[in-house]
Amino acid sequence: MEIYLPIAEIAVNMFMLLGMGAAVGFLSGMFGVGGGFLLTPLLIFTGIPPAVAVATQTGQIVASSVSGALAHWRRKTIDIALGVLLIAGGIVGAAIGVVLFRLLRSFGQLDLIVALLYVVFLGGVGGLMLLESGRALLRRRMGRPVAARRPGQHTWLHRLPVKMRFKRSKLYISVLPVAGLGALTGLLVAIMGVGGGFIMVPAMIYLLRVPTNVVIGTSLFQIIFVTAFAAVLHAVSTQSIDAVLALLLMVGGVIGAQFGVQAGQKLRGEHLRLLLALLVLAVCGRVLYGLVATPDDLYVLTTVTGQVE
Amino acid sequence: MRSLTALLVLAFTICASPYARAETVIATLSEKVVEIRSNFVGTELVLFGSIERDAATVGRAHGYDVVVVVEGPERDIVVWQKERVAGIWVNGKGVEYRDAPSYYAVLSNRALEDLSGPPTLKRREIGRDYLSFEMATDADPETTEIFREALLRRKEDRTLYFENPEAVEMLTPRLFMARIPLPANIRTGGYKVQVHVFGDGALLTTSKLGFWVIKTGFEAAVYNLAHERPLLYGLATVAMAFGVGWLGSVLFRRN
Repeated sequence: MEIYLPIAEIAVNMFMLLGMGAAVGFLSGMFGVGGGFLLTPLLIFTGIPPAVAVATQTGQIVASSVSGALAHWRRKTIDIALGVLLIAGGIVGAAIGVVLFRLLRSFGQLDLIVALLYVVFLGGVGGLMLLESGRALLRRRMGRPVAARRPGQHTWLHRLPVKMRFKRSKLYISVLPVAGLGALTGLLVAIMGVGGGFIMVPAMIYLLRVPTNVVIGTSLFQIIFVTAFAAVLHAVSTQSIDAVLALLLMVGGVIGAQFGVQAGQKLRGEHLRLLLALLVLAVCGRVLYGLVATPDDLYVLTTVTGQVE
Repeated sequence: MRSLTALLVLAFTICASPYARAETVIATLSEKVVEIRSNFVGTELVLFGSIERDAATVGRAHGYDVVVVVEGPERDIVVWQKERVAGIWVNGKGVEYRDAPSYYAVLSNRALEDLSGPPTLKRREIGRDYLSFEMATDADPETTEIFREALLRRKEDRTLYFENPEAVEMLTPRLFMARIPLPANIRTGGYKVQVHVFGDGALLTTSKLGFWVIKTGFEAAVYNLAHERPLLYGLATVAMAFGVGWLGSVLFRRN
């Protein structure tokens, strides 16, 4: 059944959108990631204008993060103080991101920058995850115990000024790297249409040394507010959020995520991370192919503000 | 003397009158307003027309030819040329056009070159080869031609520009019908329709009419809210997201 999307201004099959939302929701539930990095490129591949895909995704991620964060809220695995500080940084980053988004679009270079960011971040994170999970699998196979992380170890990040105590995370660190991390992910939220969990989670674990049990909940908690803020900014500044598209993706995503969580519980951690790494690298490869492959036509049309015609 | 004056007045009236031409054309469209709803996947308008001829005019030896030109709302467009930089295709040179029609259809009962000559077609901008664009970017003639061709080609790829020499059907020598296809990706706004009647290669008469493409119902409400009250729209989208997310976590709560 074709449905006309009022902002994207094209007719797309409704069940395909619901199915895409559900499939990505399934994967995000299984791997515990937001799925924005999968859904935004998928939408662009289906012909949704990139600007609409990115802006709409910020709204969709709010829904999936609320679902996830509520579960963590009940289990009390959210560090509110840390989250609020990340949000403060994130809001600044998202505001800068939306301004950059508009600027890039008017230069006709938005699609390129979005694609390049995808290649760099997905390639980097996917590659690291592949290495890490591969090593863990090898170690297990060779019968060696998986090395435990040393929580007491300090890095240069812990020597920065303006320190603050985060009770639930049992941390006493400077607010600067926390706000900075928030700002970086906020920027990515606004430009790439992702939640930023794939940067946030490893950064919290490996750089800030936040205990693993509060990482996911806190990350989801901050993603809700930063993506919500980015969504409102996009609505005001670029007017490219398609509420109909967002609703279809949200409904599909929330349903798919439930089944994904169940599937994920049947797999071992290293296997999950290995699969996710391969998935991330596959998306990265597809985006890279789009950049490198010779297009059918070497000319493209846009409006003066850079919207694809 | 009196009769001479009357004769002069009549002669003057005939010369000055826009109806001095022997033929006129009357045309009408099946719809004046095309509504875009959530199930819109494109539509087709039907145009009916009749060629009227006053008693003094003799019939044309080779009958009449009809060309229908439809132009969609104009908008500024940038054509980008992709260039390879370090292995990656990027938007390089861009040429900006002012007020290019978003939709341009030329429907006729036979090939344009058979029914008239380039001077007339060019003057009336009938046909893709004669459509002129106003450029906002300076470019040499060669670049101008390449980008103009690219603009036409990209629009044609999306069936927003086209020529169809079989779309006008002559029901009788003076009665005709044309089907105007409107794809799903058309822009909203006012559309101009010109009905040209040719006889023996000469343009005899033109009739102008038009129609509107508008979003209605829910689609219009969403679109208008997004553009007129963007803050409210953004907050509403976020509220919807919170609602769906919360509902999901309640419905599928695992204890």
